[in-house]
Amino acid sequence: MILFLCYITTGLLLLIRDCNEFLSFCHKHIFLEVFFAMAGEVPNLAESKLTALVVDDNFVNQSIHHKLLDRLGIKNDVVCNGQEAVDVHCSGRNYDLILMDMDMPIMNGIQATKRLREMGIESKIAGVTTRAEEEEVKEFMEAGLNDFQEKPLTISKLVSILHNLDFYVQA
Amino acid sequence: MQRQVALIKQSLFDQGYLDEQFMELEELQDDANPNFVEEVATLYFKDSARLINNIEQALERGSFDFNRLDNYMHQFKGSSTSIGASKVKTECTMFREYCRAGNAEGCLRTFKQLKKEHATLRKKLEQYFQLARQAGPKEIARRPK
Repeated sequence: MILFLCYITTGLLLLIRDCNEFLSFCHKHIFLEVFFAMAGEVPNLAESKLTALVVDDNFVNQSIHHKLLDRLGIKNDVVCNGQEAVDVHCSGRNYDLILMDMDMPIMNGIQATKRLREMGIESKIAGVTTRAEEEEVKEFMEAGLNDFQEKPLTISKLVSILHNLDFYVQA
Repeated sequence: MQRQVALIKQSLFDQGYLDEQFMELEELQDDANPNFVEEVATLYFKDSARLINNIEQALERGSFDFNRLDNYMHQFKGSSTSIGASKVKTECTMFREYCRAGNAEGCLRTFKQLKKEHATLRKKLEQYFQLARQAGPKEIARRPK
């Protein structure tokens, strides 16, 4: 298994070398980190200096999502509802990634996502919710999400989000 | 003592009190947060006690507001799912089905069972965490067989 992984890694490294003119170093770094994550290891994205915002009214989920992002080396803040997510952006803060819950008091995830997009916020927003009915997911996606994952969130689901959203540091 | 801790944890999985999500949380523990799972569990039981209280008050009123009850239980289920509280999660799901069916008796019956499962899990996890602290730094979490 280890030899197989080494073989694959070598092949990928050669491919990346050949595509060097099209990929930045950081892009390669993130790609390899995600690759190793999908092979079962936890990537450390601290060098990428990604930032994230956790938007969830549930204290248990706040704690878990904050820790998951920490584990991946992603600095993150936590707010309790959609209104706070909007307010924090109005104060001038910006994030690479927003993990948005759907059901929250004051302003829910759908309303908050729409509002943030209206404000011109281009951060990647991933919906994270227990609601998985097709119609509910569709409504959430149409509000302006870039990706969606069903709770409970795990390391592998979070890595999947990062992979789907093609995160890389601009040169 | 480490073996005793491992056996208690294994039994929690074997008896269906916990599911894989609990293992996911244990894998987040590190030197910076060696008691992360216990901290999350503490948060969960504090939050769920509040929800149980809210639901009890709503049920005691007599007139069943199934929408409100369903909302409370949605939150409860969400927390229970996140911590891996499998039996509690199952009762939450059943309660919500009774809410959607407008079945008051089913809600009452399920809520009684839910409180029982919740109390049992709390007691067992408190025992587990106490023993784990006495045993010292834990070995890396392993998935139960």
